[in-house]
Amino acid sequence: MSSERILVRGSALPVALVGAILARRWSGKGKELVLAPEREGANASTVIARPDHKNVHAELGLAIESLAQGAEAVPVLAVATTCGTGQVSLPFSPYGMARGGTDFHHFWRRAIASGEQPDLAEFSLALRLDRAGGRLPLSTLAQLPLEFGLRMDRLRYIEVLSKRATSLGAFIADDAGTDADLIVDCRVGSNRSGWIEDRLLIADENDIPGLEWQICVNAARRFLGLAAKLSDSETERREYSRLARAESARIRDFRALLRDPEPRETEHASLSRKIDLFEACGRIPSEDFEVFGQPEWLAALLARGIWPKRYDRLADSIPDKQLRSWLSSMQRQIGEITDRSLRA
Amino acid sequence: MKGNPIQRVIIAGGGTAGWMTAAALAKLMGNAGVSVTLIESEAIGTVGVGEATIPPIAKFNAQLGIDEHEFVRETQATFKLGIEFNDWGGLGESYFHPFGRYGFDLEGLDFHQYWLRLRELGDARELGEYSLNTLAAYAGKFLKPEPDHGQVIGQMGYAFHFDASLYAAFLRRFAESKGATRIEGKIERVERNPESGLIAALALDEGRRIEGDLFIDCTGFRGLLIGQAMGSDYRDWSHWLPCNRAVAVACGKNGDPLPFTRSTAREAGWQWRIPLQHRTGNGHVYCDAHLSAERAEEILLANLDGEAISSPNHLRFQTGHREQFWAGNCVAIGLSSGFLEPLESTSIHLIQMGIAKLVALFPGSIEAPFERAEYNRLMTDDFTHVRDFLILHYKATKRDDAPFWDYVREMSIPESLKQKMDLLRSRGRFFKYDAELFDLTSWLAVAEGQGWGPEGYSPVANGLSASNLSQSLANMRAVYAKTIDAMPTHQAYIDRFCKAARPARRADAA
Repeated sequence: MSSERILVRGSALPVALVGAILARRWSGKGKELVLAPEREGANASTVIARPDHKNVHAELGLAIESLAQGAEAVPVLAVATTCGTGQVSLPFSPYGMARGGTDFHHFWRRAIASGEQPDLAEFSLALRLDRAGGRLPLSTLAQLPLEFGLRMDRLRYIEVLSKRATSLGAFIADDAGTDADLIVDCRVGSNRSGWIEDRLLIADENDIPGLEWQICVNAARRFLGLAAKLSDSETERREYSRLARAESARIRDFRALLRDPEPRETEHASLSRKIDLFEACGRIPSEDFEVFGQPEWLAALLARGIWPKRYDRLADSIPDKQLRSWLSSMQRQIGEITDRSLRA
Repeated sequence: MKGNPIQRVIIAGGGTAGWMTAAALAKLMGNAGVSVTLIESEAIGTVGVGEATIPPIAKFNAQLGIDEHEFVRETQATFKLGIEFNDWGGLGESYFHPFGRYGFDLEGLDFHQYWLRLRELGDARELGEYSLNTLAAYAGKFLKPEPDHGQVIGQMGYAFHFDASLYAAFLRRFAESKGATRIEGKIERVERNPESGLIAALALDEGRRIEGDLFIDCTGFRGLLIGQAMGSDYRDWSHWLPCNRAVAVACGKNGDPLPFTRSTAREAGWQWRIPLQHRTGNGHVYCDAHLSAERAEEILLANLDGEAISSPNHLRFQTGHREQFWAGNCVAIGLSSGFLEPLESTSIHLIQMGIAKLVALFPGSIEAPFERAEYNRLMTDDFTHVRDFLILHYKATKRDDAPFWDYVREMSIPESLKQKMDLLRSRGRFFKYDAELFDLTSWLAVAEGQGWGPEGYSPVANGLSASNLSQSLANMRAVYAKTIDAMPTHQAYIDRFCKAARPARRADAA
């Protein structure tokens, strides 16, 4: 082969998404990018893009407005998923407002210690808006301090991404064979990932809304961050696989927290640490290469009945009366914003 | 709050670590019902650790609400834009480790990948020509970046050189104004509860006894509480960082202070030069297996910019850290917790990290096993990341003129560092761990500066045509040159905003 050829194959959405991101960078003389998507099921429904969508789509030159039109994109403030105790809503934005560098939930925990029983979800604008069920216009959302993802029609999103990929120089082939310097196998739904010789495997379970999208994005970026001469990339392959393993471990921990019958009995030190420290003092330690945000971990921990025994001492820095007044004022404001936003 | 909440924090030892801790805890925990008491003895000298700092120090001062210009005035400080390394890669070679980034990213790709491509096309310009910090440092210029200064000046990162003893005194006044109490006295004994093993009190001279709930060991290399009383072992890293002694001396100024630290490699170690407003701090860090104390002092004194104004102060140290930074109800901060040579000015930063983590994990009660485990894990990570970066300076050398350099050049290195060096070498790739202090700019500066720089570049950089690329980089250089022209000199900035109003009260050596 005179040029370096990358073949991206597998499920239609991952191929289109990874293909578009690669096409943005892996282009030009001596480079060939071929996409070989499998046929998507006729009943394919929606896909969730996590808040990172802003960066990804901006880099691809896809405006949110055009996605709203082309892929029926609507904002998503939280995603619902199953956990060992039923359903849990995972918000993309923090609960309440941090104060003096101390996360809000410590103040909430202090209020509980003082005998009050406020529901933490009442202090989450994201969850209140999500529960209210209204559809916020993007213009309204832009004015609120909220992280949001996008829910899109799967087939139409694939179409948008495929068009973008081809406009950036990728080719789509029904039968591309296996003639390539690197084959990117997109098998989200299986459980093996890494870069082994001439195979780059992008895989994980697709059982948490938004996970499939994020895994593909992270894998494509990771590859681009390391991409070199494909035939001579041993160091890069090792590093890619190390980073992919770290990411898988973070996802594994989150999934175990949500779904294991007894998450406290986990054999994984990183999850044990999260549970133990949160239970001890309300802090959620962060590991390298986290995939899920702190608000999502907090929601999952609480949903599994893991509660902090105490709050951060810095939450004692305001008097009781001021704390009560601050909490009720915040609750009121969130209610007002929710009402106003839904009327907009 | 349930249980037996911590109400009394006792800090053993003053100096930089002690007073930084006292200032932070008094300011941040004072309103949460925590009292802070610091015990120090004027009879015991302080090491006066690190006069040179790195940019995060500004965050520490800002969190405390300290006015930066006042701090500079009070500590005879100067501004620091980076570190110049001489004779590290090879004799006669020099490079600059800047605190601000290189160039501007293009099309979402790191700037240096384009620079590498241009170099492969035959352009011999150095990375430093795309660093505002490097250009300003060598032009003797400085301007504190403000939010409305735009993105070029916004690239400038800075730290300080200051008199550590004056900084401790400055923080003492601050801490006391926030309610911290100082007790003059010498710690004679550490009393432990025979059942729990926890520290119950510190017995001082004249029969005094100070009880507390949480004890902070800032007793320096002695580790009176953490080592001697709590038995936390020391993890020795001297096989990777073999320098184990230093000799420090202050000398008179020679002209206006330059806004950077200088590190010059010597036959069995290296020499620092730190310019302050009123004097220059100097020191020679070396390995006693390869150099005698007498010879080390001789080398230092022969390479001063001005006349020595203090007696040479000899120090011994062991590179490494405590196995447990927090043991029982004792937390070690500063030299008692571990030591990494000040090659990248990280001593005060590691104090700052210890304090920040202690505040974040401040225990609810005397027994706090999970907070303690997390603190120990995070501090171990901090030390390990800094260690790897320091080893890079020794490993990535071509020097073969002395046995010391032969040893460090040939020594085996941690796997974590090997992987990083391989990635940097191949095509300038770098993945930063979340808690890692030094970023791509730092690793690239040292690797490239010492001849371990990237051999190739990311093919993604081929996305721009050669002429476009050349023009973009020429534009960047023009913007930097114009910006440097408009900046005041470092001395002029100090004179205008933060000139020390009076002579230093103490002029300790580094």
